[in-house]
Amino acid sequence: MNRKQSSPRFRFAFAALLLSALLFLLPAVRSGDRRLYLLAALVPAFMLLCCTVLARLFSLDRMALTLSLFLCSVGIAAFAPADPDAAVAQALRCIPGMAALLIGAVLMRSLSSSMLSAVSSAFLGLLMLSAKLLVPTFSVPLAEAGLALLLVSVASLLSGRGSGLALIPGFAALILLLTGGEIALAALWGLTFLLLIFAADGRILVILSAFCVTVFLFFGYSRLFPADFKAADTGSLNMLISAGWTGTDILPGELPSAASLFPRLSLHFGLLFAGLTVLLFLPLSLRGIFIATSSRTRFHAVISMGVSLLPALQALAALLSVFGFLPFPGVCFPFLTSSLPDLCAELFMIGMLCGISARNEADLAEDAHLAMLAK
Amino acid sequence: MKQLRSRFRLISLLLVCAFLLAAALCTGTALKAAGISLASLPSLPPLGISSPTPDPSVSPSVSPGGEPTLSPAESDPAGSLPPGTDNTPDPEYNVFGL
Repeated sequence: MNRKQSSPRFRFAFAALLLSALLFLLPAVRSGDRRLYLLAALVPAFMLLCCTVLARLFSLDRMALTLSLFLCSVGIAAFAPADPDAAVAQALRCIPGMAALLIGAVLMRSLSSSMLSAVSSAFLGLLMLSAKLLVPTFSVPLAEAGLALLLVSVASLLSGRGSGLALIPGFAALILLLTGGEIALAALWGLTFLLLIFAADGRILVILSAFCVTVFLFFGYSRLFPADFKAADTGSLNMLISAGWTGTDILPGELPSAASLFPRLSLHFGLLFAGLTVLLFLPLSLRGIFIATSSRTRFHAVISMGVSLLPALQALAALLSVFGFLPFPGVCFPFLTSSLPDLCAELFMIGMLCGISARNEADLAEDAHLAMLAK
Repeated sequence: MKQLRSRFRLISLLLVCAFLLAAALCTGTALKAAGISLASLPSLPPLGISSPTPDPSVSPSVSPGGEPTLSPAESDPAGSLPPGTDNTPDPEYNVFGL
């Protein structure tokens, strides 16, 4: 890598580090809290460590890693002005998330398309989705982690000869999500699944039949449980707007959603900063699509496409739900959540993307080596 | 693989359009909820010209009859005064004594 290529990346990473430090320094100076000063030093230091040492060790994609870590730091900063203890707890939640990212990267680097990987990941994914139905007292949200595993299964089946088989785990996941009452995740999975079938299969008959089944399932669910489809009330939107474009120090008593950090973020830092943060999901997903287009195998291309689409569509759905355009009140932005399993699943997906990027780079290096030998 | 890549590009284009549309929709809703409409934007004063803000400590000068005194330009709506006569220098700022 020459200096001309590395310079914009360095500047981008430096800007992310500086901004994440400022996010903690401003409330720290205002309140004089030592924990916030500590976070202002430790969070950028951890980001720097991940973006340099870990990225070099595991050949992780630096842009995807920096963007996702910056979004995580924004999630921590959402707690900082009002509740420093919760900010420290959110920072501690990011550490297992980082471990999940590394596991995803290592897994994707070594995994290849086979029937065994398709069946085992489908089994595990469906088991995670049906955990709530099998054990009603089980309250850990494992749906996003299950969807990440199901993406591996669907990609493995779509990249093989029997791409019609991919419909089985795809629709099974959709039915399980709808049965468990996860309408927002079901809609996101349905759309991602349809787009993957369109990209990888491309046969009109398959696409149309998949589309009709998805629409039929949602139509049936909306007929059976019409109360589950309700748009966000105008009170929560008015509360966000009352904080203004630059935010306020005083939080109202009850926030719209406990797990989602977007209301906290927009109340403390203003709608302008929150909106710009949401727009960061676009370059993240575009980076993922770039990795997908530069993949050598269909398996890796379909996985990286799915892993890029799922968080991007989730961010879109969450944004439109906050403003009352979509009837999904409980959907959270990726990385801006206080739920540990969801955060780990989202970082695991970014790890999968980084692993595929590392594999692409290894393929390119091998090609260059072969070309050098041929000369 | 070529077809796959071209479809990926199409999907990325759709995604960008969806994001821009969502951003425009949400900005419009936020502005509307904040009471700012696009129709009212042209009526706002242009940048650089600040609107006159009255000093609360200074009460408007009142004539002995109880009516506020008007400047020459205000007292002459027909515009019969020659140009330049309505801006007599303020003695406070008349440093040259003209």
